[in-house]
Amino acid sequence: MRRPGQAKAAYASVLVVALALGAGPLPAHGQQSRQASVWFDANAAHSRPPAGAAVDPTNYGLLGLRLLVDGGRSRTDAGVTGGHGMADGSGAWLTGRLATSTAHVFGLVDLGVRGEVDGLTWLVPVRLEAGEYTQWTANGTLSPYAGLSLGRFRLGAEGRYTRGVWQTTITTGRGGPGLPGPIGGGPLTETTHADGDVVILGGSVSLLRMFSGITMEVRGSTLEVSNALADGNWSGVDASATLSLGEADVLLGGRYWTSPVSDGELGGHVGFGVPLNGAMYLQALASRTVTDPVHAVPGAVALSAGVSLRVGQRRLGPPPPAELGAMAGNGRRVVFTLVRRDARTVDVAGDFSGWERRPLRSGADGTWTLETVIPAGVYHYAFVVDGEHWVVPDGATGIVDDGFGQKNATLIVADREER
Amino acid sequence: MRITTFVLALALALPTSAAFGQQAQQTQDEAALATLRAAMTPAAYTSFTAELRAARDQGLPTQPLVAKALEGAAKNVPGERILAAVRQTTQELNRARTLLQPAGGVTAAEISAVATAMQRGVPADAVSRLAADAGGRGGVGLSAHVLADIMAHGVPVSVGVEVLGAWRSHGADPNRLNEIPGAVERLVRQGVVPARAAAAIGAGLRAGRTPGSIGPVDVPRLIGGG
Repeated sequence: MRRPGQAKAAYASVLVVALALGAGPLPAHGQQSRQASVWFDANAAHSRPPAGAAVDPTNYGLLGLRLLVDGGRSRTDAGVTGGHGMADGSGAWLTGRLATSTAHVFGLVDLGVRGEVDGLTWLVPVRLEAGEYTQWTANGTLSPYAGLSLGRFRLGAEGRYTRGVWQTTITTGRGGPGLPGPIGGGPLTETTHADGDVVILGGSVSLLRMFSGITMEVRGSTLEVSNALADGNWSGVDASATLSLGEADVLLGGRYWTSPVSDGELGGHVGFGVPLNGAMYLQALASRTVTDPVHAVPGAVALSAGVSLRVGQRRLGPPPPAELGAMAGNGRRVVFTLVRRDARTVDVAGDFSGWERRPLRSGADGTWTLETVIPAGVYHYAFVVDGEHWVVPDGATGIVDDGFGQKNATLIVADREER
Repeated sequence: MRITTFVLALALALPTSAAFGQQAQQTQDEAALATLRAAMTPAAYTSFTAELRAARDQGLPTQPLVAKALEGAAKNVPGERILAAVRQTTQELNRARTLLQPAGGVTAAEISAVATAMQRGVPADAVSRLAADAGGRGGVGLSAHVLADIMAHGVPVSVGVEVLGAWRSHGADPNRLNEIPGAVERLVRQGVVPARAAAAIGAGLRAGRTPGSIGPVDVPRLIGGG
């Protein structure tokens, strides 16, 4: 039986696990990234509340659905996850999460904003000594950011408003082009100032090195923190490594952290993720967090393993003017598409046809299409509307002058299919 | 006995197939020339065929010249203007071949692909670097077009060349090459500065990652900085 006062830590643990799963690694994207997809997640998790809190470790089962919308300059991730504790009295709950971001790049300047809302409600109350715990929770975060890139360096500023606290982080770092040889690490300084009850001033220095298939980062941090719970110096060192084993990623990390609430805390994580056929992602994660200097939330242990399955996918917007399909003999299937509601006829002509016109068929909503097989090679092409107007749509790849005062698009037919 | 018969039949059939292919190509070329003869004035057509012979004598591919002329005819362009475009194409092919020759492995398809990539804005020194990295192993034309694609997304030429160098020196997998433009585009649309996006793709390739698997969250980890 749980005691009163420990429920908050318990649900914090649950929320951490649920959100970590919901925001887990995403499957690799192909070239057509303007799309919406629906994913089904199934996970098993084990949560061990913070050291010193006399709350029983608990096992959970989690099922969820996520909608990912990757469209234009924005990205939205919405999901609902249901969880059920295995132990008697550990309850069942529903979490929801909506995260969206938009970003723009104007030359050297990048601007963006991220917003996130999450919440948790209990479907089956947690039983405590003092009764049943059913308190729901909701949280919102808004994070605008901006950066200026000058050569190999980027100066960035990010604001974060959450739980009534405004936090500003200034970062400077080496972020330039990947020039020959191993990528060099560089200093990363971080200054955070949060209004209200929490003030953090400090910074960190990180060193990043890449070897064949391994990325290693070592970071040292020191923060002078004033908050309502534990003022003082928080400092530590952490190291992480990512190993790429074919398509799989293995994540390893460790952190040693001293703070006013403990002489020394050891945290870390071990993770594994592998995509299968682009429609399935297997993942496993074990982590022990350390006490958070912003809210002084104690660290906890979490273990999880699960699978994400893509159950639906839909392209957003019109198809590209020329889309490569499957291999066919010594060539590839290519679908030409032009949307022209006012056209009486549409043809396509190019190097692949000796510039003889091939008619497209009219479909719904003014969409004209032609599927044909084209041998591997590089071709110029253009559409002909109503037999006389040569047209290259704006979305076509490799638009060039044709030497006759008009434009051509470029079609590259590779002799292998992309994975 | 049957095997002997089969081998004999195959030995006879192979040259026949090759001859049939050549004949089909010849028929196609004759049809193309007939189209052009009908579309151009006699003087322009004579100049065009002279241009073709000169290109063949120089060892340049002639198919792109015929294609350019057919394009002009299809677009109802006057013969003299077609001729000017064909001469321009000859110069571009010549330039592409000159850039490819030092590294060896020059084919008609490579010359043609590099010439069209240069039309898209790929500079000569970048082509030379891509050819040197390839060392005669081919794929220069395709990588030049990938460079043109990522340049169109705002990636500086020097960074793009380094990304393709990373691809070349870490397996030169054609599948990964094809993924690069889409991966850069996606990162840029999600707010990553083009040079940083491309640099992260290059760093990921060096680390054995596929371009499509690199997201905005990976960028600081792969190339440092915020």
